[in-house]
Amino acid sequence: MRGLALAGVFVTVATHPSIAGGPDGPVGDFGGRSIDADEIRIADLSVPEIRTIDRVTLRSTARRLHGLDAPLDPYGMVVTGDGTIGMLAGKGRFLVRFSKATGGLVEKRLLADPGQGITSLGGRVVVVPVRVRPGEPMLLREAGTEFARFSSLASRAAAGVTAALLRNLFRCGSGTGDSIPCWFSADGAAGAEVFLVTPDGGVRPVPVPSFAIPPQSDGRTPGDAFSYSVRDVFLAGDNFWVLSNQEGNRSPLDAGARRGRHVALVREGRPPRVADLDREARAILDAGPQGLVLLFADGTIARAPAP
Amino acid sequence: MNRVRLRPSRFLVPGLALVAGIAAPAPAPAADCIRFYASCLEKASELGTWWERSAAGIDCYLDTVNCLKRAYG
Repeated sequence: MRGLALAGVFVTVATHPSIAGGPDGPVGDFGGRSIDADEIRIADLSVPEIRTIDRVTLRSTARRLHGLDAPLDPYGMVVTGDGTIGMLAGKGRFLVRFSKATGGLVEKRLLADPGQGITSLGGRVVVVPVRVRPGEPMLLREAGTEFARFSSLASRAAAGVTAALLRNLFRCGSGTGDSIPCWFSADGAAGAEVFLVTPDGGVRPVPVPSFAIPPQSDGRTPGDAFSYSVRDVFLAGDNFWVLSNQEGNRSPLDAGARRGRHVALVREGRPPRVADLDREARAILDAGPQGLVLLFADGTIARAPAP
Repeated sequence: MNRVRLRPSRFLVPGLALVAGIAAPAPAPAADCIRFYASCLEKASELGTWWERSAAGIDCYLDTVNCLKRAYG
């Protein structure tokens, strides 16, 4: 935690998005998000539906998803230039696409490697496969009807299948056309770090602040051996925002665990800038000169000016 | 030392928070995911044919990933 810049303005602005034609309500089961020049989209799997939120007013509309005969997975979503919204379903077995205009299912494709995440880079769909063996590619990019490796990021070794599953939980945050930020949920030997991945397959690891204290493992549960520092990342130009996950020595979901209470702005060649949150946040939906838009764990969405 | 504090919404309606709690399924603790995995594999191993055992084993594995992703996400 050394070298962090902690700014000193007490700020708050909160807005609850309203659903056009329906009552205000919080987001249920968060399944992913995407952002473009004007709008934020959130997948709410409890309906299921896509909420489209205006980046300026935070007013939202909802589009029900329909036509799928398998449960959607909360593994992310991609909005591609062909007018569809892609997600994973059936425990990662299927890549499904819905019409952005109607919410109807337009494609359901069986994946050769079941996925644990979906994102996009350079306008193409990227799937994060489930891994338990070491040295296998962590990112597969759509190439025609197949998915192919395109970066050097590889799965990590662990003692036993369960520990390997944990060590290879992998997520990607909100990127730009030039780069996406990805990270292993369980910190590695280098500590908390985010990998910035470019369309040509380049990978740049960047250390990020952590509020987690590695627990003293009792050896009974494989997950006890790790700490989980990063919950979400939002890339904004040359900088990125990191939402903390585990804080303290209790891993997420342990009784009394504290998580998602800090956001840090990580800047090239400068100390990170950190802000406290008064309640647990789930995702960073937007970030810009006007501030952040956060999805909180209670399902509400609030805007907070940047520190 | 300066510090920024981003406060929560003051007008969060308690009723809405309650709805959120109902709408969003509570994720299982990671330890529960792992206990489930062991139990699931045990049941899969009791199935009659190799194909049935393999299919059920893969289901256990993917269910566990889903459970862990929700727990640690």
